[in-house]
Amino acid sequence: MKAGKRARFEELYWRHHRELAAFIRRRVPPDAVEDVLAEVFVVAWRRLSDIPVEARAWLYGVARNVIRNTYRAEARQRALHVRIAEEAGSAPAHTDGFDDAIASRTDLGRAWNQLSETEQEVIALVAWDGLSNAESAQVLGVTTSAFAVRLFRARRRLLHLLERSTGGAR
Amino acid sequence: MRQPLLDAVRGLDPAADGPEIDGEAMLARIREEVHSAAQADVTHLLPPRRSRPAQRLAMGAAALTVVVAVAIALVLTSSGPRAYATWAAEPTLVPVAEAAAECPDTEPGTPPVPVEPVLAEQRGSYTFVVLSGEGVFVRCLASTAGEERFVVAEGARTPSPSDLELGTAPVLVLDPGAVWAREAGEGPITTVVGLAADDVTAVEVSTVDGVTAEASLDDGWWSVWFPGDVEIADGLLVTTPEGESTLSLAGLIAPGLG
Repeated sequence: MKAGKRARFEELYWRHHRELAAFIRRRVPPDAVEDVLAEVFVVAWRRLSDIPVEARAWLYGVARNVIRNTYRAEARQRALHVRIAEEAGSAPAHTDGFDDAIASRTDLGRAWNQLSETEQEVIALVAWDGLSNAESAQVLGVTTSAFAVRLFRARRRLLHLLERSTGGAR
Repeated sequence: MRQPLLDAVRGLDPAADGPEIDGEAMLARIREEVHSAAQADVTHLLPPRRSRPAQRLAMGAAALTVVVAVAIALVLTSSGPRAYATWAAEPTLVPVAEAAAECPDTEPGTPPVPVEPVLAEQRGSYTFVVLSGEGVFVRCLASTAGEERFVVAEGARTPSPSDLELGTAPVLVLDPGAVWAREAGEGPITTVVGLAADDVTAVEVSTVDGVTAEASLDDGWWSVWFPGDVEIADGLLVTTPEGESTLSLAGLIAPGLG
Protein backbone atom coordinates (compact mmCIF):
# COMPACT_ATOMS: atom_id res chain seq x y z
CA MET A 1 0.00 0.00 0.00
CA LYS A 2 1.31 3.45 -0.86
CA ALA A 3 1.65 5.74 2.16
CA GLY A 4 -0.83 8.46 1.13
CA LYS A 5 -3.37 6.03 -0.15
CA ARG A 6 -2.90 3.82 2.86
CA ALA A 7 -3.40 6.71 5.26
CA ARG A 8 -6.63 7.74 3.58
CA PHE A 9 -7.86 4.17 3.48
CA GLU A 10 -7.11 3.55 7.14
CA GLU A 11 -8.78 6.79 8.13
CA LEU A 12 -11.81 5.63 6.17
CA TYR A 13 -11.68 2.22 7.77
CA TRP A 14 -11.44 3.39 11.35
CA ARG A 15 -14.16 5.96 10.85
CA HIS A 16 -16.70 3.61 9.33
CA HIS A 17 -15.96 -0.03 10.08
CA ARG A 18 -18.12 -0.34 13.21
CA GLU A 19 -21.27 1.20 11.77
CA LEU A 20 -20.70 -0.65 8.52
CA ALA A 21 -20.45 -3.91 10.46
CA ALA A 22 -23.79 -3.09 12.11
CA PHE A 23 -25.32 -2.37 8.69
CA ILE A 24 -24.13 -5.77 7.48
CA ARG A 25 -25.15 -7.57 10.67
CA ARG A 26 -28.74 -6.49 10.09
CA ARG A 27 -28.77 -8.17 6.73
CA VAL A 28 -26.72 -11.36 6.82
CA PRO A 29 -26.23 -14.31 9.20
CA PRO A 30 -23.81 -13.56 12.06
CA ASP A 31 -21.08 -15.83 10.72
CA ALA A 32 -21.01 -13.95 7.41
CA VAL A 33 -20.61 -10.42 8.77
CA GLU A 34 -16.83 -10.32 8.71
CA ASP A 35 -16.61 -11.83 5.21
CA VAL A 36 -18.87 -9.13 3.80
CA LEU A 37 -17.12 -6.41 5.76
CA ALA A 38 -13.73 -7.48 4.46
CA GLU A 39 -15.00 -7.63 0.89
CA VAL A 40 -16.44 -4.12 1.13
CA PHE A 41 -13.13 -2.68 2.27
CA VAL A 42 -11.20 -4.59 -0.37
CA VAL A 43 -13.49 -2.93 -2.94
CA ALA A 44 -12.95 0.40 -1.17
CA TRP A 45 -9.19 0.01 -1.42
CA ARG A 46 -9.34 -0.76 -5.11
CA ARG A 47 -11.69 2.12 -5.88
CA LEU A 48 -10.45 4.60 -3.30
CA SER A 49 -10.38 7.43 -5.83
CA ASP A 50 -14.10 6.91 -6.52
CA ILE A 51 -15.12 7.35 -2.90
CA PRO A 52 -16.70 10.73 -2.12
CA VAL A 53 -15.65 12.75 0.91
CA GLU A 54 -18.91 11.78 2.58
CA ALA A 55 -18.13 8.11 2.25
CA ARG A 56 -20.74 6.42 4.39
CA ALA A 57 -23.46 6.02 1.79
CA TRP A 58 -20.93 4.84 -0.80
CA LEU A 59 -19.66 2.14 1.55
CA TYR A 60 -23.18 1.06 2.46
CA GLY A 61 -24.05 0.91 -1.22
CA VAL A 62 -21.13 -1.42 -1.86
CA ALA A 63 -22.11 -3.53 1.13
CA ARG A 64 -25.66 -3.76 -0.17
CA ASN A 65 -24.41 -4.89 -3.56
CA VAL A 66 -22.07 -7.47 -2.04
CA ILE A 67 -24.96 -8.84 0.01
CA ARG A 68 -27.34 -8.89 -2.95
CA ASN A 69 -24.66 -10.57 -4.99
CA THR A 70 -24.25 -13.26 -2.36
CA TYR A 71 -27.70 -13.91 -0.97
CA ARG A 72 -30.97 -14.69 -2.66
CA ALA A 73 -33.95 -12.44 -2.09
CA GLU A 74 -35.66 -14.76 0.36
CA ALA A 75 -32.56 -14.93 2.52
CA ARG A 76 -32.29 -11.16 2.56
CA GLN A 77 -35.94 -10.87 3.46
CA ARG A 78 -35.47 -13.22 6.39
CA ALA A 79 -32.49 -11.21 7.52
CA LEU A 80 -34.47 -8.01 7.87
CA HIS A 81 -37.22 -9.75 9.80
CA VAL A 82 -37.27 -9.17 13.51
CA ARG A 83 -37.61 -11.83 16.14
CA ILE A 84 -40.88 -11.43 17.97
CA ALA A 85 -41.95 -14.86 19.18
CA GLU A 86 -40.17 -14.60 22.51
CA GLU A 87 -41.41 -11.10 23.09
CA ALA A 88 -45.16 -11.69 23.26
CA GLY A 89 -46.73 -9.49 25.86
CA SER A 90 -43.66 -7.31 26.09
CA ALA A 91 -43.63 -3.66 26.95
CA PRO A 92 -44.69 -0.98 24.48
CA ALA A 93 -42.25 -0.37 21.68
CA HIS A 94 -42.34 3.32 22.36
CA THR A 95 -44.38 5.45 24.68
CA ASP A 96 -44.34 9.17 25.27
CA GLY A 97 -47.48 9.94 23.39
CA PHE A 98 -46.95 7.72 20.43
CA ASP A 99 -50.01 6.81 18.46
CA ASP A 100 -52.29 4.33 20.12
CA ALA A 101 -52.04 2.13 17.06
CA ILE A 102 -48.71 0.82 18.29
CA ALA A 103 -49.76 -1.18 21.28
CA SER A 104 -46.60 -3.19 21.82
CA ARG A 105 -43.28 -4.20 20.42
CA THR A 106 -44.92 -7.46 19.44
CA ASP A 107 -47.54 -5.68 17.33
CA LEU A 108 -44.88 -3.58 15.70
CA GLY A 109 -42.70 -6.62 15.02
CA ARG A 110 -45.58 -8.50 13.45
CA ALA A 111 -46.50 -5.55 11.27
CA TRP A 112 -42.85 -5.06 10.32
CA ASN A 113 -42.53 -8.66 9.24
CA GLN A 114 -45.49 -8.26 6.88
CA LEU A 115 -43.76 -5.49 4.96
CA SER A 116 -42.14 -6.36 1.66
CA GLU A 117 -38.36 -6.54 1.40
CA THR A 118 -38.35 -3.18 -0.35
CA GLU A 119 -40.53 -1.56 2.30
CA GLN A 120 -38.39 -2.94 5.12
CA GLU A 121 -35.25 -1.79 3.39
CA VAL A 122 -36.25 1.85 2.99
CA ILE A 123 -37.40 2.15 6.59
CA ALA A 124 -34.37 0.26 7.90
CA LEU A 125 -31.96 2.57 6.12
CA VAL A 126 -33.38 5.52 8.04
CA ALA A 127 -34.45 3.97 11.33
CA TRP A 128 -31.74 1.36 11.88
CA ASP A 129 -28.80 2.58 9.84
CA GLY A 130 -29.37 6.23 10.69
CA LEU A 131 -29.02 7.51 7.15
CA SER A 132 -30.62 10.65 5.82
CA ASN A 133 -32.99 10.41 2.88
CA ALA A 134 -30.23 11.68 0.59
CA GLU A 135 -27.76 9.07 1.86
CA SER A 136 -30.36 6.32 1.65
CA ALA A 137 -31.13 7.31 -1.91
CA GLN A 138 -27.43 7.05 -2.72
CA VAL A 139 -27.26 3.56 -1.22
CA LEU A 140 -30.16 2.44 -3.40
CA GLY A 141 -29.03 4.36 -6.45
CA VAL A 142 -32.25 6.36 -6.77
CA THR A 143 -33.09 10.03 -6.53
CA THR A 144 -33.78 11.54 -3.15
CA SER A 145 -37.33 12.34 -4.13
CA ALA A 146 -37.95 8.78 -5.27
CA PHE A 147 -36.61 7.53 -1.96
CA ALA A 148 -38.73 10.04 -0.05
CA VAL A 149 -41.86 8.79 -1.75
CA ARG A 150 -40.90 5.14 -1.15
CA LEU A 151 -40.35 5.92 2.51
CA PHE A 152 -43.64 7.76 2.70
CA ARG A 153 -45.43 4.76 1.25
CA ALA A 154 -43.61 2.24 3.42
CA ARG A 155 -44.47 4.16 6.58
CA ARG A 156 -48.09 4.39 5.57
CA ARG A 157 -48.21 0.67 4.94
CA LEU A 158 -46.60 -0.06 8.30
CA LEU A 159 -49.15 2.14 10.02
CA HIS A 160 -51.93 0.43 8.12
CA LEU A 161 -50.66 -3.01 9.16
CA LEU A 162 -50.38 -1.83 12.75
CA GLU A 163 -53.93 -0.60 12.75
CA ARG A 164 -55.08 -3.94 11.42
CA SER A 165 -53.02 -5.97 13.87
CA THR A 166 -54.23 -3.96 16.85
CA GLY A 167 -57.85 -3.93 15.70
CA GLY A 168 -57.62 -0.19 15.39
CA ALA A 169 -58.67 0.12 11.77
CA ARG A 170 -61.08 2.96 11.42
CA MET B 1 -38.66 16.84 14.86
CA ARG B 2 -39.99 13.67 16.44
CA GLN B 3 -40.84 10.85 14.13
CA PRO B 4 -42.66 8.46 16.44
CA LEU B 5 -43.05 5.57 14.04
CA LEU B 6 -39.36 5.56 13.19
CA ASP B 7 -38.49 5.94 16.87
CA ALA B 8 -40.51 2.81 17.56
CA VAL B 9 -38.94 0.91 14.68
CA ARG B 10 -35.49 1.76 16.04
CA GLY B 11 -36.42 -0.35 19.04
CA LEU B 12 -36.58 -3.39 16.76
CA ASP B 13 -33.01 -2.98 15.52
CA PRO B 14 -31.56 -6.50 15.39
CA ALA B 15 -27.99 -5.15 15.44
CA ALA B 16 -28.41 -3.02 18.54
CA ASP B 17 -26.56 -5.47 20.77
CA GLY B 18 -24.28 -7.05 18.22
CA PRO B 19 -20.74 -8.17 19.01
CA GLU B 20 -17.87 -5.76 18.47
CA ILE B 21 -15.62 -6.32 15.50
CA ASP B 22 -11.92 -6.75 16.32
CA GLY B 23 -10.85 -3.74 14.30
CA GLU B 24 -7.11 -4.50 14.17
CA ALA B 25 -7.66 -8.12 13.16
CA MET B 26 -10.12 -7.12 10.48
CA LEU B 27 -7.77 -4.49 9.08
CA ALA B 28 -4.98 -7.08 8.95
CA ARG B 29 -7.29 -9.44 7.09
CA ILE B 30 -8.22 -6.73 4.58
CA ARG B 31 -4.54 -5.91 3.97
CA GLU B 32 -3.89 -9.59 3.39
CA GLU B 33 -6.79 -9.89 0.92
CA VAL B 34 -5.78 -6.73 -0.90
CA HIS B 35 -2.34 -8.16 -1.51
CA SER B 36 -3.29 -11.76 -2.18
CA ALA B 37 -6.62 -11.68 -3.97
CA ALA B 38 -6.84 -11.61 -7.72
CA GLN B 39 -7.70 -8.21 -9.13
CA ALA B 40 -11.26 -9.14 -9.99
CA ASP B 41 -13.53 -6.57 -11.57
CA VAL B 42 -15.59 -4.94 -8.84
CA THR B 43 -17.49 -2.47 -10.98
CA HIS B 44 -20.76 -4.31 -10.44
CA LEU B 45 -20.41 -3.80 -6.70
CA LEU B 46 -20.16 -0.02 -6.85
CA PRO B 47 -23.19 2.14 -6.06
CA PRO B 48 -24.74 3.61 -9.20
CA ARG B 49 -24.07 7.27 -9.79
CA ARG B 50 -27.15 9.42 -9.66
CA SER B 51 -27.83 11.66 -12.57
CA ARG B 52 -29.72 14.33 -10.67
CA PRO B 53 -28.04 17.12 -8.73
CA ALA B 54 -27.94 15.77 -5.22
CA GLN B 55 -27.67 19.15 -3.58
CA ARG B 56 -30.98 20.37 -4.90
CA LEU B 57 -32.79 17.17 -4.13
CA ALA B 58 -31.36 17.05 -0.66
CA MET B 59 -33.75 19.88 0.21
CA GLY B 60 -36.40 17.26 0.61
CA ALA B 61 -34.22 14.90 2.56
CA ALA B 62 -36.21 15.08 5.75
CA ALA B 63 -39.43 16.19 4.24
CA LEU B 64 -41.63 13.20 4.86
CA THR B 65 -43.01 11.89 8.04
CA VAL B 66 -45.85 9.91 9.38
CA VAL B 67 -49.16 10.99 8.03
CA VAL B 68 -51.71 8.99 9.92
CA ALA B 69 -54.07 7.78 7.29
CA VAL B 70 -57.34 6.10 7.99
CA ALA B 71 -59.93 4.72 5.66
CA ILE B 72 -63.10 6.46 6.62
CA ALA B 73 -65.82 5.55 4.22
CA LEU B 74 -66.48 2.91 1.69
CA VAL B 75 -69.61 2.10 -0.21
CA LEU B 76 -68.82 -0.39 -2.90
CA THR B 77 -71.51 -1.49 -5.26
CA SER B 78 -69.38 -2.14 -8.27
CA SER B 79 -69.03 -5.78 -9.23
CA GLY B 80 -65.26 -5.62 -9.75
CA PRO B 81 -62.18 -3.56 -10.57
CA ARG B 82 -62.20 -1.75 -13.88
CA ALA B 83 -59.06 0.34 -13.77
CA TYR B 84 -60.64 3.77 -14.13
CA ALA B 85 -61.09 3.51 -17.86
CA THR B 86 -62.55 6.97 -18.32
CA TRP B 87 -59.89 8.81 -16.30
CA ALA B 88 -58.75 12.02 -17.99
CA ALA B 89 -55.48 13.92 -17.67
CA GLU B 90 -57.31 17.23 -17.78
CA PRO B 91 -59.79 17.77 -14.97
CA THR B 92 -62.92 19.83 -14.85
CA LEU B 93 -63.67 21.80 -11.71
CA VAL B 94 -67.10 21.05 -10.28
CA PRO B 95 -69.05 22.75 -7.47
CA VAL B 96 -67.57 21.56 -4.20
CA ALA B 97 -70.70 21.40 -2.11
CA GLU B 98 -72.53 19.19 -4.55
CA ALA B 99 -69.50 16.98 -5.24
CA ALA B 100 -68.82 16.48 -1.55
CA ALA B 101 -72.36 15.43 -0.71
CA GLU B 102 -71.36 11.78 -0.38
CA CYS B 103 -68.00 12.42 1.26
CA PRO B 104 -67.44 12.28 5.01
CA ASP B 105 -67.68 15.50 6.99
CA THR B 106 -65.06 14.55 9.56
CA GLU B 107 -61.58 13.09 9.61
CA PRO B 108 -62.31 10.43 12.18
CA GLY B 109 -59.06 10.24 14.09
CA THR B 110 -59.00 10.84 17.81
CA PRO B 111 -60.70 13.21 18.27
CA PRO B 112 -62.64 13.48 15.01
CA VAL B 113 -61.96 16.75 13.20
CA PRO B 114 -64.64 18.43 11.08
CA VAL B 115 -63.69 18.99 7.46
CA GLU B 116 -65.17 21.07 4.67
CA PRO B 117 -64.70 20.64 0.94
CA VAL B 118 -62.12 22.94 -0.62
CA LEU B 119 -61.61 21.49 -4.07
CA ALA B 120 -63.63 19.24 -6.34
CA GLU B 121 -62.71 18.01 -9.78
CA GLN B 122 -63.95 15.54 -12.32
CA ARG B 123 -61.86 13.26 -14.52
CA GLY B 124 -63.98 11.12 -16.74
CA SER B 125 -66.57 9.39 -14.61
CA TYR B 126 -64.80 10.12 -11.36
CA THR B 127 -65.18 12.98 -8.94
CA PHE B 128 -62.31 13.72 -6.60
CA VAL B 129 -62.84 16.01 -3.63
CA VAL B 130 -60.34 17.43 -1.15
CA LEU B 131 -61.75 18.36 2.24
CA SER B 132 -59.81 20.25 4.87
CA GLY B 133 -60.03 20.84 8.59
CA GLU B 134 -57.66 21.93 11.32
CA GLY B 135 -54.47 19.95 10.75
CA VAL B 136 -56.21 17.34 8.62
CA PHE B 137 -57.27 16.81 5.07
CA VAL B 138 -59.40 14.15 3.45
CA ARG B 139 -59.37 12.83 -0.10
CA CYS B 140 -62.61 11.47 -1.42
CA LEU B 141 -63.10 9.68 -4.72
CA ALA B 142 -66.53 8.91 -6.11
CA SER B 143 -67.61 7.23 -9.29
CA THR B 144 -70.26 9.10 -11.17
CA ALA B 145 -70.73 6.36 -13.74
CA GLY B 146 -74.41 5.66 -13.30
CA GLU B 147 -75.19 2.51 -11.38
CA GLU B 148 -71.57 1.52 -10.92
CA ARG B 149 -71.22 3.86 -8.00
CA PHE B 150 -68.73 3.89 -5.19
CA VAL B 151 -67.35 6.39 -2.73
CA VAL B 152 -64.02 5.88 -1.04
CA ALA B 153 -62.26 8.37 1.17
CA GLU B 154 -59.12 8.57 3.22
CA GLY B 155 -57.96 11.11 5.75
CA ALA B 156 -54.51 12.35 6.67
CA ARG B 157 -53.55 13.98 9.92
CA THR B 158 -50.48 16.16 10.22
CA PRO B 159 -48.37 16.63 13.36
CA SER B 160 -49.32 20.29 13.61
CA PRO B 161 -52.18 22.37 12.16
CA SER B 162 -49.56 24.82 10.90
CA ASP B 163 -48.32 22.12 8.55
CA LEU B 164 -51.27 23.02 6.35
CA GLU B 165 -50.18 26.62 5.94
CA LEU B 166 -48.56 27.66 2.69
CA GLY B 167 -46.11 30.23 4.01
CA THR B 168 -43.96 31.84 1.32
CA ALA B 169 -43.65 28.89 -1.04
CA PRO B 170 -45.44 29.11 -4.39
CA VAL B 171 -46.77 25.63 -3.88
CA LEU B 172 -46.60 23.15 -1.05
CA VAL B 173 -46.97 19.39 -1.31
CA LEU B 174 -49.02 17.68 1.39
CA ASP B 175 -49.38 14.31 -0.27
CA PRO B 176 -46.43 13.49 -2.57
CA GLY B 177 -47.92 10.41 -4.17
CA ALA B 178 -49.77 8.26 -1.69
CA VAL B 179 -51.34 5.08 -3.00
CA TRP B 180 -54.71 4.22 -1.54
CA ALA B 181 -58.08 2.67 -2.27
CA ARG B 182 -56.20 -0.57 -2.87
CA GLU B 183 -59.23 -2.70 -2.14
CA ALA B 184 -61.99 -0.30 -3.07
CA GLY B 185 -63.48 1.42 -6.03
CA GLU B 186 -61.77 0.19 -9.15
CA GLY B 187 -58.46 -0.48 -7.45
CA PRO B 188 -55.57 1.66 -6.23
CA ILE B 189 -55.05 5.27 -7.15
CA THR B 190 -52.05 7.52 -6.56
CA THR B 191 -52.78 11.03 -5.32
CA VAL B 192 -50.78 14.23 -5.09
CA VAL B 193 -52.33 17.07 -3.09
CA GLY B 194 -50.98 20.46 -2.14
CA LEU B 195 -51.48 24.13 -1.52
CA ALA B 196 -50.82 26.92 -3.99
CA ALA B 197 -50.22 30.65 -3.74
CA ASP B 198 -52.78 33.02 -5.26
CA ASP B 199 -50.63 33.76 -8.31
CA VAL B 200 -50.24 30.12 -9.32
CA THR B 201 -52.39 29.49 -12.35
CA ALA B 202 -51.50 25.88 -13.16
CA VAL B 203 -49.67 22.85 -11.76
CA GLU B 204 -48.72 19.89 -13.88
CA VAL B 205 -47.63 16.54 -12.44
CA SER B 206 -46.05 13.58 -14.20
CA THR B 207 -45.35 9.98 -13.38
CA VAL B 208 -41.93 8.44 -13.95
CA ASP B 209 -43.61 6.41 -16.69
CA GLY B 210 -44.29 9.61 -18.59
CA VAL B 211 -47.98 10.17 -17.94
CA THR B 212 -48.67 13.85 -17.36
CA ALA B 213 -51.80 15.27 -15.79
CA GLU B 214 -52.96 18.78 -15.12
CA ALA B 215 -53.81 19.46 -11.51
CA SER B 216 -57.13 20.91 -10.56
CA LEU B 217 -56.53 24.21 -8.79
CA ASP B 218 -59.04 26.09 -6.71
CA ASP B 219 -59.15 28.23 -3.61
CA GLY B 220 -55.46 27.72 -2.80
CA TRP B 221 -55.56 23.93 -3.15
CA TRP B 222 -54.44 21.69 -6.00
CA SER B 223 -54.71 17.98 -6.60
CA VAL B 224 -53.98 15.28 -9.12
CA TRP B 225 -54.65 11.60 -9.08
CA PHE B 226 -53.57 8.80 -11.37
CA PRO B 227 -55.11 5.37 -11.79
CA GLY B 228 -53.03 2.59 -10.27
CA ASP B 229 -49.94 2.44 -8.09
CA VAL B 230 -47.57 4.75 -9.92
CA GLU B 231 -44.38 6.58 -9.00
CA ILE B 232 -44.56 10.34 -9.22
CA ALA B 233 -41.74 12.16 -11.02
CA ASP B 234 -39.89 14.84 -9.10
CA GLY B 235 -40.52 17.76 -11.44
CA LEU B 236 -43.66 19.84 -10.86
CA LEU B 237 -44.42 22.28 -13.65
CA VAL B 238 -45.80 25.38 -11.93
CA THR B 239 -47.22 28.29 -13.89
CA THR B 240 -47.53 31.84 -12.60
CA PRO B 241 -47.97 35.15 -14.47
CA GLU B 242 -44.16 35.27 -14.65
CA GLY B 243 -44.05 32.05 -16.62
CA GLU B 244 -43.47 28.35 -16.11
CA SER B 245 -40.93 26.82 -13.77
CA THR B 246 -40.12 23.24 -12.94
CA LEU B 247 -39.82 22.72 -9.20
CA SER B 248 -38.72 19.72 -7.16
CA LEU B 249 -41.66 17.95 -5.61
CA ALA B 250 -39.46 16.58 -2.84
CA GLY B 251 -38.25 20.07 -2.03
CA LEU B 252 -41.80 21.35 -1.70
CA ILE B 253 -43.16 18.85 0.76
CA ALA B 254 -44.58 20.73 3.72
CA PRO B 255 -41.75 21.33 6.24
CA GLY B 256 -43.88 20.23 9.13
CA LEU B 257 -44.27 16.86 7.51
CA GLY B 258 -40.50 16.34 7.65
